[in-house]
Amino acid sequence: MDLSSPASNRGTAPANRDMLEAVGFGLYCIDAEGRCTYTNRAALDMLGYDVSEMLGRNMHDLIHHSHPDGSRYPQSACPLVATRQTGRPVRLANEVLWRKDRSFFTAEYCAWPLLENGQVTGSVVTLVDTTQQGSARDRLALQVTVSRMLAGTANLEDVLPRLLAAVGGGLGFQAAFFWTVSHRDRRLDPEASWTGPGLDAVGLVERTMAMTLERGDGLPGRAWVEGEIILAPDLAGEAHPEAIAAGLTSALVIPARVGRRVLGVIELFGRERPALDDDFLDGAAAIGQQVGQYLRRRRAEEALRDREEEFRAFAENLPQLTWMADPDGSITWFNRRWYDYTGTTADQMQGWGWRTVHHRDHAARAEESYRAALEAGTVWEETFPLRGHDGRYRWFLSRAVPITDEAGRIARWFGTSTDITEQRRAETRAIAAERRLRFALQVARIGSWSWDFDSEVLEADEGFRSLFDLPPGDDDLLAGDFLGRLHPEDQARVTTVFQEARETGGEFDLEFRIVTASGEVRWAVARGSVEKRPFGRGLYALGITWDLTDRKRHEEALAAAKMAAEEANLAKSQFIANMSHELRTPLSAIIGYAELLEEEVEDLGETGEPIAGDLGKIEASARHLLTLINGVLDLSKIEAGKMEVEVEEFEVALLIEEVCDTVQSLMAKKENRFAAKLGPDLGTMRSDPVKLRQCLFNLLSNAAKFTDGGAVMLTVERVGGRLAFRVVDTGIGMTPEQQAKLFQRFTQADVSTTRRFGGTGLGLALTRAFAEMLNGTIEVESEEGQGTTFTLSLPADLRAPAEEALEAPLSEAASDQVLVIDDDPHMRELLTRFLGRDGLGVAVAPDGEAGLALAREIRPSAIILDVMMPRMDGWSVLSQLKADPDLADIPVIMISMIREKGLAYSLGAADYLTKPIDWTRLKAALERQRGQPAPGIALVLEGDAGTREQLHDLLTGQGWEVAEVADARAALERMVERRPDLLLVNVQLPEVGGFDLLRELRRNPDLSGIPVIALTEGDLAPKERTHLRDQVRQIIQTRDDSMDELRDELRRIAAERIGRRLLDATGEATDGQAIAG
Amino acid sequence: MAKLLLVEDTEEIWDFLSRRLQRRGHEVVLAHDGQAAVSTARNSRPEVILLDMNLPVMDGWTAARTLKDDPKTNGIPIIALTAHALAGDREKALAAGCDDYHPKPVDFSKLLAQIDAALGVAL
Repeated sequence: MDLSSPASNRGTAPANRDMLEAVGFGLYCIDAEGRCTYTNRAALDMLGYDVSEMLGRNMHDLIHHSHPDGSRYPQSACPLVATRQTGRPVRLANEVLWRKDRSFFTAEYCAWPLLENGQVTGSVVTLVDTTQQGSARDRLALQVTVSRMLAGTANLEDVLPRLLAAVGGGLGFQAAFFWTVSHRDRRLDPEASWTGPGLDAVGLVERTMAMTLERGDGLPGRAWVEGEIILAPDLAGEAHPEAIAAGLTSALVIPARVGRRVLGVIELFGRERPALDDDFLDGAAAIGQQVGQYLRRRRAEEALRDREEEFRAFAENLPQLTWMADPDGSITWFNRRWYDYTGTTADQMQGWGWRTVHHRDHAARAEESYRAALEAGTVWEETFPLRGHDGRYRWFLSRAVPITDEAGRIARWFGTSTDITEQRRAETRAIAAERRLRFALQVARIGSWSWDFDSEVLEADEGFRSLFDLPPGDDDLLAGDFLGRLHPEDQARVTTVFQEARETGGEFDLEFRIVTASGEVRWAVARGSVEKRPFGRGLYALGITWDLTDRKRHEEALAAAKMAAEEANLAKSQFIANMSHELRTPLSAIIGYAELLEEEVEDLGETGEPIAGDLGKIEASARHLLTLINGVLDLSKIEAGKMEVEVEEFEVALLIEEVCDTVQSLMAKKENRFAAKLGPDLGTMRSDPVKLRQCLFNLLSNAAKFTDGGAVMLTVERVGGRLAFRVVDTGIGMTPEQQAKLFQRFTQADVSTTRRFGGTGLGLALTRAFAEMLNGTIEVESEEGQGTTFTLSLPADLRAPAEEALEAPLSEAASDQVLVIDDDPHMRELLTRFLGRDGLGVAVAPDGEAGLALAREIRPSAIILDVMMPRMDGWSVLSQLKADPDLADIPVIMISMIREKGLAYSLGAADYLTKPIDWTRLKAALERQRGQPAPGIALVLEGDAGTREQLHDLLTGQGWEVAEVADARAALERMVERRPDLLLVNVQLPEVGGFDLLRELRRNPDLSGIPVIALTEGDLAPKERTHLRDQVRQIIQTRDDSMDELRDELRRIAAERIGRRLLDATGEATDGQAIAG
Repeated sequence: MAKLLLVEDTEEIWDFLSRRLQRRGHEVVLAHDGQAAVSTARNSRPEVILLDMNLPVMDGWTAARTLKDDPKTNGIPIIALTAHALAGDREKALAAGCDDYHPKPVDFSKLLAQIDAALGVAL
């Protein structure tokens, strides 16, 4: 056979052609382009084409166009093409070739090159239908075919019909169906059908494809249940009329399974009963398993695809921006929000395009950490700003998590970006606010702290620590350390306030002192409240504290300055008073001698007359000077609060007459007409006649002074309980401005007035002061050039309605009050402040009567009594106090400007101080008199520390100064150092040596007088008791219930000691007076 | 006329006052401090005592009290001469046992009237 000649049916020699027709296998020839040039009959039969349908056609496209799964088989990938290029033959076993009716068969497919002059001009291709060969080989070929079909990626719907055709055809059946198992619905659904050529089985196909089968129903249902191949050799018994109608007689069902799990069933129908040998069954089972594996893979893929879709939907719908990236980090997918936010497109964003929407300053950092996370395969987290479509940046928190596949490799990254701009803003604001707060606290030097009451631990900042001189740092502080810094005198109070706040859950606001490690005392404020932790987890206090030291010092300095100023003012007034007094003594002498001389000159008769005249001038001048000095003195008395009102009953008319007589000469001197007009029923007044007289004299002489050749009129009327004295003149009058300044001290209408009219400018100021002292008023009406009217209105009875009410007596029943009786409001205030500062209650009374009443009411522990007071002076008050048996025991401290100690003590005053008051002396005097603090020194000899402490508290509570020792030797040493006023001795503990001490005391005359209280812990033997009783003042058991007994005894001792000291003090004072005199 | 004890420590005052009183015919015995006043009163037995209150050695109030406490002298009327316009002189003087008081500077005619009155009381 010449195969080197051009292979064409037409071009081949007939003999050769016959020869080629005779071979039992298919053969065709193709040219260099793959077009058919010749085919034999066998090939046409195998492929189902006519000659004309094949010649000239590209054979690959015609019969080899698809893989078994139906996917395209490009010619370039076909090994047969290689033959044309390499010139070497190619043999392909079990290749799927496609018939004209689109069915296929497996064949051994070989190609031999046709060479012409060394050039490949075409190929001879042979095809042998392997399915027509021996059954074992058939089945192997079938399995290979099925494998190839199933290995492809074509859809289930495309693969299944071809699969059925391959299996049905391969195994010699005429019809096939594929059922899929729905485990969820527990049923079989027909998925695909195949009928072989020449079979009319429309009825069977239609019916089968329309039905579903339950598990166990029909052959497929049974195969599902049994998981085994089932043969129905005779369909007559299977109620399959359509199959029988189509001439089919037997059926075979093959479960498609993975292990025991059935995923589908292949149902095959045939015209003849198949020969079931082991090979056949093994082959069918193998196919069933191949299909089962395939179905499982497809299902897994579908599930994965579903999951993937779900995941994308989820990622799409997250409120964040989401994205997915390949393992290398290039981003393959963003959700809609990302594009909406950034205003970008998918193309712009592919791969690493996201970098374009990062902020310049943050991009590098974000990328660096992203790459690091990619490398390490760890979760990535970063915050950075991303540019929005509007060009504005917002802050995002981005996270990416790696998603691994089944093998644990990173398959991709899933990322989210959450907008945290608002959060960040809030955070920034919070941080800024906290920074501001810290700064404020620091600048204001305010410390903040919290105190957990359960753990007794304090958390505090630097401010607090430095204020309290506590160690810096973040360590917790113990509440005890903080309390230990408190001034001992403030500890109890602070503790109480905190206790109250704890109980009431309330607020606290405290001022207290701190003693620093260096011993410096500082003032501080603590303000805050007690809060409850949630869920009943106890209480804590939250507060701030700041340093008050500077302010306190300023306050103290200010108070001291004010007090000093007030004292200085008092001292000034006192100085003026003293000065005036000193001036008056020589003036008295001048007047006295002048009068004496006048008398003596009178004896000389006429010769003495000129001298008498001169003496008269000396006397008049001296008296004028005296009036001026008296004026100054009166004013200083008023300023010092020392002007006194002496109330007498007198006839008004008589007093007016006297005054008129006195001013008559003044009126005459200025050629003024003067008249007095008295009401009909003036009657008597109870007031200070001296002051009234002086007021009227001042007003009238004033009128006379400023009126020349005019008229002055005095009218007096009684209106109810008051008397009105009116002085009307026709003098020069005053402008409103002048009137405004009228009653000011040392001020006249103007300076020129002083030159023209003389005078000191004191008269009207004094008049008004007096009027006020007499509970009256003075008013002026005037017009310049038109004269002036002064109206003085006074109560007829000064005592009747005491307009100046008592300053609200403090009604505290506390006997620990000091009563201050002083008419000077400044002094009362000063004393109240001074005494209050020492923690004493102070009651005040503005005059003697009120003072006496108040003393009876409140029974003060001491009285501070001013000597010079109006109405009833200090001496009278003192006499009355001492005359009242209820009040006689109250110690009275007299305060006066003048040394009158003798008088004071003779009237029963306990102490006498002169003004200005030396506060230290007053305090000492008060403490002496009140007898409250420091009854003396008590020495406690007690071995047990607990009892010592208890006694210490008891004694200090009663004002004793306490020294404690644990044994007799120490006690003796201490007593020599400082003699105690009281001894408390434990006589029972032998190691303490109480009895030894008592013996020692008896021997030492200096110490034998000290009162001793013996303390025993239990009962003493009667003999011991008797023995002890002779030596000690009292025996007391140190049991809780005998503490009251001890307390009472201590009070008695204290009272005795104070009483004795009071006597001593009086004695001393009397002695002092004697020496001073 | 009467025998008066003038107790006054300021020389000018006791000088002119004693001379004026003598001119009116009174006999004047002088003392210059409280202590001396008490002893002179005991020894000289005056009919009226003019007692300054601000005295050295023993002040006027103590002297007055002492004189009034002594039965030998408690019958002698005392006119206090007070210089303190500051205080409730009158009450204080009376509280100390004085019978009358005369504020300085001396109003001579008034003082004479008070002496007469005291003598009247004494008689």
